[in-house]
Amino acid sequence: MIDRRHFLALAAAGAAAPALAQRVVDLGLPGGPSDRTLTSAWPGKGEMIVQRLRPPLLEAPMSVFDGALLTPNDRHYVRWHWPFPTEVDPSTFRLRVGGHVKTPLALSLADLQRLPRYEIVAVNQCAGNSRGLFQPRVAGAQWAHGAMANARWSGVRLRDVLDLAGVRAGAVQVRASGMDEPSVAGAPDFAKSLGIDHARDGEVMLAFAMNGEALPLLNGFPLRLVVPGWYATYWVKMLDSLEVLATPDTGYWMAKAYMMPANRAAHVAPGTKDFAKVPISRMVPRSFITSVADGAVVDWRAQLPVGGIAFGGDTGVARVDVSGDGGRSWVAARLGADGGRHGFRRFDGVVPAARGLAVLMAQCTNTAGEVQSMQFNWNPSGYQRGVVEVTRVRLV
Amino acid sequence: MRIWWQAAAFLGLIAGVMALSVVVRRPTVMAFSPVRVELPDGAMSTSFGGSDSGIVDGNCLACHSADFVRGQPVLTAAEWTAEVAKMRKVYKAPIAEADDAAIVAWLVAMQERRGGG
Repeated sequence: MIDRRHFLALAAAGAAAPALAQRVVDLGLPGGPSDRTLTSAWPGKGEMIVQRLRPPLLEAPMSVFDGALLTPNDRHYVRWHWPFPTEVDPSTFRLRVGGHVKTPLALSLADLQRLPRYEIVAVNQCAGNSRGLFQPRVAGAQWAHGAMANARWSGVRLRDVLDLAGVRAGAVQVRASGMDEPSVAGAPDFAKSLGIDHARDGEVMLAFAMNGEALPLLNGFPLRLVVPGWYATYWVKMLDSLEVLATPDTGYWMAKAYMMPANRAAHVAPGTKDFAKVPISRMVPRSFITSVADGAVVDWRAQLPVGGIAFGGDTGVARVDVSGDGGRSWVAARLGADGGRHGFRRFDGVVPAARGLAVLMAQCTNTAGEVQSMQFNWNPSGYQRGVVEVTRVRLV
Repeated sequence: MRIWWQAAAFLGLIAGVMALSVVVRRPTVMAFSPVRVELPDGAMSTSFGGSDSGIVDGNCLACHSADFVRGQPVLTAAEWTAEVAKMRKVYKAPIAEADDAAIVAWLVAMQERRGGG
């Protein structure tokens, strides 16, 4: 079994509360601080890494991704900008649809369920996933790789909801906002906008179920936007407002926050402050070795199995190659079942290995031909990490 | 005559199976129960701890818990100053500008005590 170097200690929260004993995990963040608390104290959640208590940022440990391809709901990461209701009555919940439409609506969950059902498997990944691994380090949520999850989303197409209200000519965007609210008056309410054609592409959807069950409250009960292939900042939780816009959204969350360098790799030379920016959007291909943990000590085998998960970003996985020698030589991995182009894909390969330190890598190529770079990308917000990740193990 | 009855029964069976499959294929209407949770975010997020943390307790914790600040990588005084300014200007935190220097000094000292990570 894997020697989990990173699980440093069993740190009791206090002698008075042994039932709430918490473990500490070392996320390996360069330069630190790297220790975080692991806890199962959050409603509807199993053991999660606490990045922030309030408003909550909860990360999944990497071991979660070596299990079922669909991330269990109780291990789906949590990320809130503002406080949100802790009590939701689905019978009185209404989704308001307004703005540049013919008929403003207030839809109940029952109303929504009268529309054609739509389902898709898609990866939900925070724009800042893996920010804590940026070098030079940048301020913000110091995620390792666990601000991502793969789920089967059930609900209705955004297009069908918009058609119910009747989008008027001249509409350019749809702005989505949820029940979370700023803790200070005058601070920017969280809202994100999609181009009208994107909103109506038949894939963007409103999900009321995740893996066949109602959404956990911490993941947006009772309704959230799902934007397959795009970063989770657009996947507005506790969605209760859709506003069709006739002029582009110039609000804080679209025009100031979540801006990245205006190139596909989201890269500028470290330290650069002035550069052309665009709103973050499509994800890039990524892959993670999960069969063995970084820093593990494992029994030597001449042919070392290396497995994990990959996703293609905004399209499917074409191939994954694995290396046991830090990228000098590569071997094609076998791909697991294809659950849809927006979901995780399992890969399993075998690399030749010598005793001692082995530097393992996986490299995903998506169906559009985009290949994970061997060079890290950097930007001051810590967005869109896409580099080939390194897993160092000792073979004894 | 009998063959016709058999054929009719057979067709009926097919129709029945098809109807059943339509019913089965129709998505189940989900029933949603009210949800109420308690977040374990209180006790551990009301103070940065230590006798000198009043300046950050009073200015920072209304919006977010202390762990988020403690978990940041080493930032320079200028970077911390920019963070405090962002909290005031963008997120409308009621932080008096007169407090900025003391807040930043506490943050820098906190990271120095930590030994740079």
